[in-house]
Amino acid sequence: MENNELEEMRAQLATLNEKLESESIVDRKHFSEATKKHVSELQRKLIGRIIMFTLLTAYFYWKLELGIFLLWSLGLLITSIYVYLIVRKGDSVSMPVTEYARRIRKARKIYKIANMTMWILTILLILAWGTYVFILNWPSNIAEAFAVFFVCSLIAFIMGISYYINNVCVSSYVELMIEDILIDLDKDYQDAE
Amino acid sequence: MQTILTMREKEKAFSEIVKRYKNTVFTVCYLFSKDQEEANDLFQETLINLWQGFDLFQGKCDVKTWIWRVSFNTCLTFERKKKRSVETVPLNMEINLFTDTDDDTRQIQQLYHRINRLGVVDRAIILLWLENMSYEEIGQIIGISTKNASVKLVRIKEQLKKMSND
Repeated sequence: MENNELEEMRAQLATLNEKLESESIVDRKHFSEATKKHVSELQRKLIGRIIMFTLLTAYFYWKLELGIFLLWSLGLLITSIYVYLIVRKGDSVSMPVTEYARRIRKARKIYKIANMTMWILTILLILAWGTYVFILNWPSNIAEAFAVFFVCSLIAFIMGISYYINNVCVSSYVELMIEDILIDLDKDYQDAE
Repeated sequence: MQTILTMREKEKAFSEIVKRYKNTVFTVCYLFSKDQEEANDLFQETLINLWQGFDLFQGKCDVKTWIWRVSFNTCLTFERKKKRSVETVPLNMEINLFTDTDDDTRQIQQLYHRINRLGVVDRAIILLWLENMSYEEIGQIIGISTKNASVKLVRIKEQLKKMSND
């Protein structure tokens, strides 16, 4: 690519700007949508999680027989609040692209670990419960013992596969983008050294 | 000096800025989207982030730098929806840069394809350079040194050259 081609790109961008100049693009509806929403999509998601885990924590606290889940929901509540604070602090206004990417990466990493812990714990609890019922009914009621154990194993298996597909196989677009940015920059720093 | 604006004044100032820089915001959203609906979603989300940061912005940095930063940061962290949202207000546009076939749009689509073959940072840097920004301004928006910005730009140009030869 010589200067000509770069100049061509510049001309194409000018064409784009010219085309956009004749379009109004935004109207009153866009402004009212923007001004009535005070949090971004990511923040809204996290607020949803915080509400959910607060309710769950309260529920498990009062339902003593389910106390085993209390630590689990409390842990996830704290993590969600922590991630929310990281995201909130990392305002996209004052931060340059790379700094913002680093902050979001940190938040997503914590979010991912918390998510993984939740899934693994849930799977283990389902399996443990299935085993407990199995032992309890064995050998007096073999059919029920096997049925419960089978259903629990099946649920655990489906949950495991679903987690694997959603979180291990499919990296989200955002993560790929952030990794792209940071790998690129790290490479540059190494070259500079 | 920072002044305290009433809500009405704030909304007015905000809408004026957005109207003035709508092309910049749309250009970033367009170059980071795969279709018109995604560009709509991104544009809406960028507006929300701009509004959210409007108080923080006032007087702190250059408007242009602020607009670019928020636009890039939004495109970077936006969760692409698997299912279409009915909430997003469609953009008030007669044209569709993804599907129109007139000569001008084809030129724009060529630019889109060239830029989209680059990495995310490179895409942002070349766009800023094409907008005639200085290395210093590019560095400030991306968060790299002026020298680093110039070195990166040389590499991007080489990369583009290689791509055009392939």
